[in-house]
Amino acid sequence: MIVHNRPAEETFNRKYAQYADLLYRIAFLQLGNQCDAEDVLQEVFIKLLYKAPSFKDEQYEKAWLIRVTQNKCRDFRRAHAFRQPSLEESRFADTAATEENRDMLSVRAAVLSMPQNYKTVILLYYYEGYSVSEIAKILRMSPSAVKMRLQRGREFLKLELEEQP
Amino acid sequence: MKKNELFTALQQIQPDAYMKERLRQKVLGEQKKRPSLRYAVTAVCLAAVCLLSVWVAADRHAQQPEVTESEPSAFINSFSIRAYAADRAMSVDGTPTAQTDFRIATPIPQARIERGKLNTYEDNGKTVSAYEVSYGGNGISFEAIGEHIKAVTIFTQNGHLTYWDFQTIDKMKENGTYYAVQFTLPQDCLTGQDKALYDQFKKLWESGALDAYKKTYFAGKSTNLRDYAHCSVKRLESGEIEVGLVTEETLAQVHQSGQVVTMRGQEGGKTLWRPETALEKAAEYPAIPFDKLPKDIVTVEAEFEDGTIQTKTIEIRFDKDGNTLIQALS
Repeated sequence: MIVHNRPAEETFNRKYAQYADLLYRIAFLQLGNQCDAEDVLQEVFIKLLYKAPSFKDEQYEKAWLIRVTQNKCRDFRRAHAFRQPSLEESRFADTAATEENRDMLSVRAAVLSMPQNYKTVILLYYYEGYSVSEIAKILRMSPSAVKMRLQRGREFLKLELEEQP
Repeated sequence: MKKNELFTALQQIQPDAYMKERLRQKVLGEQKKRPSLRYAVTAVCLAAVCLLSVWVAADRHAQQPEVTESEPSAFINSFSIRAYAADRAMSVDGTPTAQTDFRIATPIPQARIERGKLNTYEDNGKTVSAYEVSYGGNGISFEAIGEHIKAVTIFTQNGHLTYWDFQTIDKMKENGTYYAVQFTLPQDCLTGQDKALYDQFKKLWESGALDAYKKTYFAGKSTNLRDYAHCSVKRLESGEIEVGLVTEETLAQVHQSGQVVTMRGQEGGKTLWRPETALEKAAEYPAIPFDKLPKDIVTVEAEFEDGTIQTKTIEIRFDKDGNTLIQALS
């Protein structure tokens, strides 16, 4: 029988509702499959609940979580460098490939096949709606480096999708 | 590629509905394994205080009379689980037939996997054989029995859960809010019962023979049955046939289905568990012995009014005859 600690559980529920989707997207893009992304999220939430520093506000907390997720993904890739999931496995892991969503899966597959450096920048810019300067602050990069990654990411996606039948 | 295509593709990357629960178990379980430095320091301090107290007490023992103080009893919420074959899966009046103490593997009467005839069919040019399978009792209902229970959540690993909140359905029916559209047909309009009755109604509806009802009762609402989440067609005692259409929004308030369901309140709801993975395996040819079919782990989590949560875990497996055995793991 397990009796959960209520305050910790409430914190977990609140933080999960706030951040799980974003962090899962980052981890999934970086690692390419659901299981590994979930393993990383487990470590991120453990760090958030038990080892996080105090944050000035939610924006700082969110930025910290994005960086922690990025770092955990990098560590995970290093530790599991021998195991690369195939693109097909990544693409169809959690979505049935019907005719209707095949086009969307092509876009998703193209995003997944991008170099790692571009993925989070693309996600934060095109999905989360952050500006270049905000992304630069979150990822602790220069604005010009963010711009460069965005531009190269766009070019990569364009080429990838043009090459597909 | 347009921006909105990229947005939609990224939006489709989402955690599944059960990841929250899996992470919650792991992350909150981790807390027990990792005492923080603060707790470690507190523990050392407490140990030191205890040693000091024993030392001082021993010193004073000879001077003072011995005093015994009874500790206040701590109230601990608890619950037990009742499980029984749900003869009428969606009904509130199934009679309990097997009970609460599953410390040893306990059979659930009537809940049995049975194989029927072997069917053969063509699939992509290959001949495939599969057994017809059924699950006696239509499934197993679980109830959490205890006081001060606010909500009960049930998780299954290899099964499927369905929950109907009949109390809310009855209230909504009384208020006239359950059915988006409701009307009755003459008794000689359809024959048969249950699914046959529904199938006949659907054919008649699509043939246009009931267009007068569409004009009378729908008033701007969709007359396409596929736009509704649930269509109830039943014969009343008077012989007339009652048709009720339920929208997706209404159904979401009273019905849950999947590997996790949550019941709020003790009365008027029924959860039905079925061994979906085991049934799929049981249908395979050549036949797998029943006692080798995949077992399931069901977790029942009770949330009490004071905010505490207690969890019990049950293993469900099958004996060589296909009978369901249930055993508490915690």
